[in-house]
This record gives sequence, structure tokens and C-alpha cells, in this order.
Amino acid sequence: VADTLAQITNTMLFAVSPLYALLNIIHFIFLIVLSPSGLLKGSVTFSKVHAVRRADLAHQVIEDALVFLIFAVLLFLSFSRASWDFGGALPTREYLHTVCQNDRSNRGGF
Amino acid sequence: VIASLFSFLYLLQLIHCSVAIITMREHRWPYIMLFTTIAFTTIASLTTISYTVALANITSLGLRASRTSLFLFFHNWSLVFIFIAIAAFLWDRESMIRTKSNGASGKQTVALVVVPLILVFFMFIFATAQASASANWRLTALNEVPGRNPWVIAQHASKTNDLAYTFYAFVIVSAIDIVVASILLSRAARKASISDKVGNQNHTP
Repeated sequence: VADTLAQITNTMLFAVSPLYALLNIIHFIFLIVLSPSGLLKGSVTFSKVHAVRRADLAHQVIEDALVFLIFAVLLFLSFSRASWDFGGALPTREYLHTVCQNDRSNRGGF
Repeated sequence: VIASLFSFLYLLQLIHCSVAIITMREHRWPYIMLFTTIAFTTIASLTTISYTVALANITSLGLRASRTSLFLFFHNWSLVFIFIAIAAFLWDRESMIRTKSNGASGKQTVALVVVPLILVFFMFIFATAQASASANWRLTALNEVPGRNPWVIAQHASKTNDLAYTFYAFVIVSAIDIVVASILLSRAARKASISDKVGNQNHTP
């Protein structure tokens, strides 16, 4: 039940945000790799140009894959309608207090 | 081939997202933002296909330059909209937790709205500026007589690069903002005890 109630929040925290952070780390790495002071430093040769093109392609593929995953996870959330409003209920402090008291009295009963 | 595959997948997601927007009664705003993001990403992906397939036999450099600028424009704006969509989802969760817990989750900070707004403002400016500067230097390079004034072209190219770096700096800062917003959301969820499995065990809706 806890998983159902907090499903969207947990998905945002443990799937979407890390994926977005990873996407930006990838941007950061490829910005350095593709910068003029990186691969193309010094004389320009065919092998260097090919390396840049390969790196550019790798950047595009990884970026597309991560963006697709982020979209897929966010769209997956639209299936769990009940979870959007926590099923209309959230445990209050009074409720938790009652649960704890009941738990204690049950234990005493045994 | 890869661009075509991703374009197809994005189109499917676009349909899925439009269905989600139509069928959902509330919480539509994050999905409207997501729809815009997917639309921009799809167009950016389609321009990549146009470059490799449709324009393969076209030697017009002007067309190629305009295609690159179009790709940059839609790609950059899609990056801005991804950030807006994720921030909207996080904001939606935080306000829902606050409403349902009657203030037990603590106060919602104004910074959660102000900081993304400032970031989005600058990201939009630099995203557009980089695309237009790219078009500018490519067209300048085309109109210049070869070998006459290479420094002007080099300066234009350098400016475009600088704008790209500034834009990506804001994009990377946006990731830090999302991480901070996530930490605040997890704290609010813990305070409201929605992630507390002991508290929720007997609480079947």
C-alpha cells in the first residue's frame, strides 16, 4: 500500500531525477570532448575529424536514449491514476498515533 | 537509422502523451509541458533524418546551413522544456503532499518556483541566440569570398561556440536545481510520512 501511495513521488525521486542528472553529466563530458581544445587541438587530421564525428554520433545516441527513458518513465506515471492523489487519503499524525496505540495494546494482549 | 528509430518512438510517446492529457481530469499541466518537450524532440529528430536522407543529394550549402540551425533551435528548446516538465512534475508532487498533509510536510519554499523561472528565462535566451548565431555565421561563411576574410568567419564561429557553452552551463545548473528540488521533495514526503511503510501498512485507501 505504501508503494501505491508514494509511487509517483518515489518514481520522480529515484528514476526521473537521477536520469536527468545523468543526462546533464553526459552533456558535460561531451562538451569537453567536442571542445576546440579537445580532439581538434593542434593540426587537423582525417583521423581526428573521424573521431569527432564518432563522438558526436555517440553523444546524439546516448542523449536520445536517455531522453526517451525520461519520457517513458514520466508517461508510465499516467497509468497509476489512483496514486496521483494518494488514493484520496494520507495518514495523519492522529491516525499514526492510533495505529501505534492499537499495536501496543495488541502486544499487551498477547 | 538510429534517428528514424527514435523519431518513431517519440511519435508513439507523443500519441500516448496526448491521450494522457485528454483522459486526465487533474494534474494536466506537467503533461502539457511534457507534450511540448516530446514535440520539439521529435522535430529535432526529424531534421536529423532530413539531413541524412532527404538532403543527401542536395549540394545547396544554404539549405544545409538552415537545417543545422533548425536542428539546433528545436534541440535546444527541447532541453529547456524537459527541465520545465520535470520541475512541473516535482512542483505538482510537492503541492499535493502539502495539501493532503495539512501542513505537516512543512513550508513550501518560494525558491522552488523562482530559481527555475530565472533559469528558464536565461535558457530560452541562450538557446535561441545560439541557433540564430549558428545560422548567422554559416550564412556569412557562404557569402564571403573564399580566402578573403577568414577572421570574420572565425570570430562568428567562436561567438556561436561561446553561446553554446553559456547555454549548456545553464542546462547543467538546471540539473543541480532538479537534484535540490528532489531532496526537498523527499524531505516533505518523509515529514508527511507518505514514504513511511510502517505508517502506511494498515492504511488501505
